[in-house]
Amino acid sequence: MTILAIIAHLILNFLLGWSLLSLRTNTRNWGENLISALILGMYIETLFVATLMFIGVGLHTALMITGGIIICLVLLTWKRGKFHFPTLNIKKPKWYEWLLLFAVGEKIAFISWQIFRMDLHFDDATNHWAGRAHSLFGGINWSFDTNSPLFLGSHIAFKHYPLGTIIWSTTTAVINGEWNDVIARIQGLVFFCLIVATVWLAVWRFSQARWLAAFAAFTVSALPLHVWHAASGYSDTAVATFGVIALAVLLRKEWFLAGTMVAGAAWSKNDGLALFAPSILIGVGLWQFSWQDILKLRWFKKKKWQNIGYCLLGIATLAPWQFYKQWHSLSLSEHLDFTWHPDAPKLFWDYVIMGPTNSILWLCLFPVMIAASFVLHKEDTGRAVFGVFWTTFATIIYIFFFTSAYEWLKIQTTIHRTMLQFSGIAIIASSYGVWLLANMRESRQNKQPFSPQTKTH
Amino acid sequence: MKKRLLGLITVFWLYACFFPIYAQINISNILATNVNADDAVIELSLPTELDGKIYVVIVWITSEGKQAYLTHVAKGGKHVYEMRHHPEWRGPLKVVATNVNEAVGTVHKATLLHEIKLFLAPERLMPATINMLQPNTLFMWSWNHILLGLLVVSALLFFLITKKQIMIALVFGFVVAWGMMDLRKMYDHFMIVQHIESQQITVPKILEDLKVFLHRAAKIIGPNSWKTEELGVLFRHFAEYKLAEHEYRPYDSSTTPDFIITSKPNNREIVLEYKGYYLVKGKNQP
Repeated sequence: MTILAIIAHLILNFLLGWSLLSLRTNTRNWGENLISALILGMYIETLFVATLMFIGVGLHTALMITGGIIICLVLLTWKRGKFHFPTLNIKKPKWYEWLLLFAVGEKIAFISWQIFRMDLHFDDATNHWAGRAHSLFGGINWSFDTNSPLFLGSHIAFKHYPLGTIIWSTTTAVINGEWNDVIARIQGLVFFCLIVATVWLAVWRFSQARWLAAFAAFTVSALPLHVWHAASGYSDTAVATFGVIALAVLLRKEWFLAGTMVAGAAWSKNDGLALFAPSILIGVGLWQFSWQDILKLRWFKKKKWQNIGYCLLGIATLAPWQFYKQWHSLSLSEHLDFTWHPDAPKLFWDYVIMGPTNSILWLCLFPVMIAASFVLHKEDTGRAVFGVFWTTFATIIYIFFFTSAYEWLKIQTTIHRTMLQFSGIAIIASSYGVWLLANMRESRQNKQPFSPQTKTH
Repeated sequence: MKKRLLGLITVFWLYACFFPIYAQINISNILATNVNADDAVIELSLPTELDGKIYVVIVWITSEGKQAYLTHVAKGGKHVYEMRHHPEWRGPLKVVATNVNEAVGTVHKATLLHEIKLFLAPERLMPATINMLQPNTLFMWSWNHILLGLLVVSALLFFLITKKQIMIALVFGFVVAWGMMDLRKMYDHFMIVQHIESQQITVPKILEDLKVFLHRAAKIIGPNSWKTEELGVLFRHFAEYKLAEHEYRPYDSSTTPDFIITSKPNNREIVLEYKGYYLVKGKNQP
């Protein structure tokens, strides 16, 4: 029954997302369409349920209203023939893609084993995430009354954390008729698959190189901490998923959807807003304006601001939660002091770059991005990738070096999760950098002017 | 060396939070006297029921009379424990002892078999696994350094053989190294599954007793109210999650609930007791 409930919920999310995406014509392939529809459906559904609950509607009524609207919307879209059906195009895998499938399959098996065989047990999941979701499902230990000690589950957890993943688990449990530990964590497995597929598709789209796409997907799937987080019931994998899809849709020039994915990241965990709102906006901005435009103050081109506006509009879809937070004085984080911590760079080097948790990923990735930055700025897409990567990284450095969040670097807790959230974006960005560097070299050898956009695949 | 120590201190700090028992260490079991620690490791046999449940603290006194210690998570059965990264683990030692009375152990020169066992020692499923992973070493070399070496060699070979661009060769080298890293992790995953399945547990050992207790307590609490008292943070959160569908009285609430889950019953009426956990009456029950 649990499996059926999960599948039914995912199908409902996909249909909702597909209906919404079909409102406008697009160039997505079937894989991109599947990912975008599913993640958009998850975001819109949970936000809509939450909005109804914020205005006083009970959980079960909110779910029934939402379910009814989704079914009506899907039927309407279908009846009007508006569903966009991308062509299903599956090529026979090459030998290295079989290896990739084996490696990813092993991770999926290990994550599934943890989810189906083990009880939920990691600490933050038992309070902040599954703890609050279970309380919301039970009803008796949950309140929307700010005067109640049970307000947003604050008796066991941090009430300032958003409700995206919490409402998704609760909804699945309602469909299932009871709560269990599988429901509390299954979305991690879904998100893990979405991350790997997104990285593969995004790299394949810009490079048309199957080997590079396979290598990038393998790199993100094998990041050692991923298999633990995907089965833990934490929300960090959700943030990573929304973040990486935000960059992938940005590369497809879907500005509004990119903004919506940033909102989804923020709806999963507050980190999402801090990490991805500035970086995706800067990325969109750098795509629109060349360095010359910026330096010569040629900022008043309506069309260019329009795209930034679409992205902002996407981020603004999270307004119900942001208004609710403001109304009830909920913050982004617990109190953070702003102080420079001189030993932070050394700790970051020892723990993140050289430590065992991330293996050699960052040690290899940063030199690639430094080298690639010299060519990334030469074209529109490259500038956007450059902006997203370095702004996200600068935000992480600021948070852990200059605020009291340094403590979580010192004891090696949140820092690794934050780098996990960043990893998908970083791998797409570095793959883009590698592809660009390789193209530049090829152009030089062929004595042609460097122009990756005109390269034939 | 300093990096590893920092890592160990962090692990120790995290676990000290979860293992209040640590404050009452009693080093009573002498493992060896007058041994040479140069290039030596410890081989310990521990009862399987202690696996993942306690810390093994190994304490030694050097020939100059200095005391030093290292902590390891207990592994049930016979296992090798790495000691060589500790700066005081060298030269002649007067005595080597541990806090676990049931432990039987010896100090050995590290052999090839020891090196392989240490390299293949699997990740332990523990509360801190979600935050950071344990380092691997081979012949005292960091696994990350070995992977970097592999990357360079693979890239060089690829470059020389295929004459492709250096950038492509480096990507290929990275994939070879990353693949080796992943193979080692796959082995970890396999060993964890095998270990947990053989023990027939569904939570890490430190939560096992509480899980059984909560399952029984839930039936007694029923529609009544409850709260926790005198439980460590990890255990409190676990109880609050498991009993989320039973009326909870917040930890700092002034009103007394019907039942209290505690590790210290303090002369209150005990309704349920299981391995150090108590369900006591909070107020008069019919």
